[in-house]
Amino acid sequence: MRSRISVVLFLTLTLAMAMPVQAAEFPTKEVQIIVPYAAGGATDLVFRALAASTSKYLGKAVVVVNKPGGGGAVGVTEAMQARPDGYTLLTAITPLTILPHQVRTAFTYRSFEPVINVVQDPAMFQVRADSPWKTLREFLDYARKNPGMITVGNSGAGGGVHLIALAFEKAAGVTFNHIPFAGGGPSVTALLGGHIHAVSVSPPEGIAHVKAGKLRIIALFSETRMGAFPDVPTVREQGVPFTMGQWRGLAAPKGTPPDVVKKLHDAFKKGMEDPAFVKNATDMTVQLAYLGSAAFGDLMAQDHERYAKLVQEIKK
Amino acid sequence: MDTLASLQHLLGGFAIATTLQNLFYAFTGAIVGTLVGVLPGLGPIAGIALLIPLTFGLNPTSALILLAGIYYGAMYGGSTTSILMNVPGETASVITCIDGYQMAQQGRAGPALAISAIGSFIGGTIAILGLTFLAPPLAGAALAFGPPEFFSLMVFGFVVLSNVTGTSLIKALMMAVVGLILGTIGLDPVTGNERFTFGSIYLLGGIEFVAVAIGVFGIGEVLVNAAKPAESLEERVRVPRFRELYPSPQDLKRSIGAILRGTGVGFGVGLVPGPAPVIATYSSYMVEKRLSKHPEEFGKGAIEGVAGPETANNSATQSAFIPLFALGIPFGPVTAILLGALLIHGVTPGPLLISEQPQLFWAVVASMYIGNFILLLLNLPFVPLFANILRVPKKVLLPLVMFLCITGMFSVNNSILDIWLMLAFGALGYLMRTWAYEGAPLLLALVLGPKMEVAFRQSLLISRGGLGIFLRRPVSLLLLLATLLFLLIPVLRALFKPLGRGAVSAMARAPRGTRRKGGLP
Amino acid sequence: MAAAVALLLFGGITALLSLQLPVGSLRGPGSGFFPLALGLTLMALAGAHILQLHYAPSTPATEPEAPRGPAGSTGRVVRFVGVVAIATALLEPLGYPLVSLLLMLALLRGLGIRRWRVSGLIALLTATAAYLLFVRWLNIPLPKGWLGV
Repeated sequence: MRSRISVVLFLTLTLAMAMPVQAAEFPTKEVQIIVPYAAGGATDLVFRALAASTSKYLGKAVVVVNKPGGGGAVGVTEAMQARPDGYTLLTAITPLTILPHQVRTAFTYRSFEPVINVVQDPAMFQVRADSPWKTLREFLDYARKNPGMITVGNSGAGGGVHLIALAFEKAAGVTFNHIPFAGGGPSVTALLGGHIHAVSVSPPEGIAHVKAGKLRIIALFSETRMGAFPDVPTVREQGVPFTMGQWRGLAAPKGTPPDVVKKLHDAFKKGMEDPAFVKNATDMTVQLAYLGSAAFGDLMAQDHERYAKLVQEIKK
Repeated sequence: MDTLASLQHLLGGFAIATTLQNLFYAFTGAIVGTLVGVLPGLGPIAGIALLIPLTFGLNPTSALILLAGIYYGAMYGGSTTSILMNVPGETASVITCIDGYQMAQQGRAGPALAISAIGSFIGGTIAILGLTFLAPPLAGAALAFGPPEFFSLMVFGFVVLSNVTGTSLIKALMMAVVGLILGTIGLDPVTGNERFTFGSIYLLGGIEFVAVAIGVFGIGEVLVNAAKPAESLEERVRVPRFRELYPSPQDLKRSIGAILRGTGVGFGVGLVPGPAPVIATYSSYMVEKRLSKHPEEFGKGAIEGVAGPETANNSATQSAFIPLFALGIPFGPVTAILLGALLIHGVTPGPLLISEQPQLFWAVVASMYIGNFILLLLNLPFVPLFANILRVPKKVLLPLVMFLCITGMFSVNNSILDIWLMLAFGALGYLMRTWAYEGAPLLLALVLGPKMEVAFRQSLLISRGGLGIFLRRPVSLLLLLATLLFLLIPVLRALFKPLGRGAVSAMARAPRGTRRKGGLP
Repeated sequence: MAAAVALLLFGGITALLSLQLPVGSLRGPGSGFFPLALGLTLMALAGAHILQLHYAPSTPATEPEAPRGPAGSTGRVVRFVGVVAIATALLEPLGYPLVSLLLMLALLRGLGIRRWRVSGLIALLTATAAYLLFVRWLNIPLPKGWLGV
């Protein structure tokens, strides 16, 4: 009995020694991307697609994890506290530069190293196909006569599309009733169910339903019309000089070594160019807008200043 | 949807899904998933992450089959630890601990594990049938739940489901409120303000659910055992004879009703956005308890208490796929992963998916059937192995369980602070056991609390401050009335007490369900 | 009874702390709204329970579940928790493999396995298996400690 145990012990120890020591090359295990919104929203969908296509270029799985709440604050805070070893990334989107001006956050864009920017999309308002407002004019007229009555869903108080909705209010001279949700997914669901009148979103949120005829784009905040919906006029064309959109990219916690950042950047860039991802992007009607690490960092800095001013103005 | 065409497509799907290659993937996924699920804390997501690299070169169907296998395996692995060690791996396994663990203590781990697998299989399969034929209309039902309905549903859920073990409604409600309070720690989900964090960055993310679950249930149990005198630690759990490793005919007879009801409950609950599996398991347990001819057995090892919830769990997960496929919107983390897998292969789920790409949809559905089947095939042979783990004497088992809990806890967030939190809740769990307070309501509240609060505040924003919104909408009103009725019963009983012991005991003996208008069947 | 009083206090503290947050109103509930309501509810429930314990005869609901054993039993629990706490504190400095070995040893001994050979063997097997499974295969970044493994 005793000798049998010793044999087992010996074998186990030998096996342990024999296992190859892992090379310190990054990456040695899967990379996590934190999406600070509920599943099904724009950021979530875009990055799930990108994660899938990048996995093969990186050599290890890229996995998306949702940490919704606080208009994005919860997930961003968590990403900020993660180990800066390149295994935890954050989807860095415009609210990153907006939230710090709205609430007391533990982070700013400076808490992260920019890796790459992936898409830039205009924002929009959508309503149900059966809603009484067929044009932007009707919508705004109603809003003017009934201030604060139209409920507009967004993906979180203080976040990107919420701010866009607030800024639009100012530009158009109306007031809405803003209802926060944990992300674009839940807000579109609520719209479909008729619980709110409109949503403030950006692609691909709700797009599939617009294509299916269940939802309608009532206000489009871009410079030019969208290729996928050539019949939808922008608000600019209809007399409201307002454009706003969001960018979505990836960032790593501050302190991540530059060579790891570069590896991640290169892998994700290839992932962006992968034909499967390009097809996904087209289906989702998102516009690819690649920016390298440094350029992305500049964009974040610029927007941080820009939104500081905008938030001040809106608060007045 | 044309039924004949659907059936044709389904058969086509099966043809694809049953190639030797795809079966191999299903099997591999299930094995890895089970191993991963057995470790408390590590869940299906980690398992999926492990095998995603293997899916690179695969076509969409094979990849999905692999993922489905992992998912099922992990869910089953989670039940295993609940039954054997009273350690719930995730929310959905909490209820299984209650009777499953008791069964294991009585040497009936085998039947518990087996019925868990069987129930899950039946529940899942029937749910998939529902998905197959009823997807679009049911998705519409899911949409009817807006913030007010959601809130009322949660209130109903809390009040009715908190008292799963039935000892004391007021104590259960107190535990639920404590859970709700703990759920508010961290960032306010609506405005992003910090709450009760006392400046700690760790608490900004809120109280980690897994720490509380493993702590209160798993470590609490370990400590309760450790407190017993040394001789009791020599005991081993009654060693099961081979014949006793699988459910007896009587077990099966008792369980079949629970399984069918569990399927129904799970399927309905799964359609609602939110943490469906949790609500499904708690609801099924309550239903079984109410309808059982031996309600006093619940909490001490009633097999229905395992069969029903485990079935409901699986059924709810399947029906959660309906909103995904019909609306393109995932309601939970697992369906979100599925969504990602679909995206890889150039498929954008949405209302047009079923009509535009029927082959894919049906292949996926077929693979879900197969996944379910593989689960059964894989785990039934494992039952004796798992059951025999309990032969180990307690004084060795306890340290092992403790050790596993620590490792598992760490694996969730790589945080030692989580381990401390788990220990703290372990101590709390021990105290709760000593003073007869239940852990199940606390955990349910911790999970559902934040969502309930968000729903409440959203509703008030929509109604601009009018509480009437909860009463104006029919579904919401119905739920609130049912809650009120449920609460009034003990009050009515107490009021009638002075009439005399005879009248009181006569009323008390009548099962609650029979005297209530709008409550559970 | 002690538990009910503790819960009453917990509810009270929650209510007090939540007043420091913006409570808002029904028109726009703030961060403190929900916790305040919860704290007050808990206090009400705890108060009701205390009254129940005071006036109603002892029912199964109020009996403790685990019968209190001889005085030593709570001490055993405290020691158990203490050992685990020390192990957790040592996790970062000493590293996972070493601590797992020591923890298993300590717990096995503490629970009554006197012979070093047996406890040592079980501890060693567990620690090794755990290392292989969790650190090597599953790649969980368990603390490395000064041994660097």
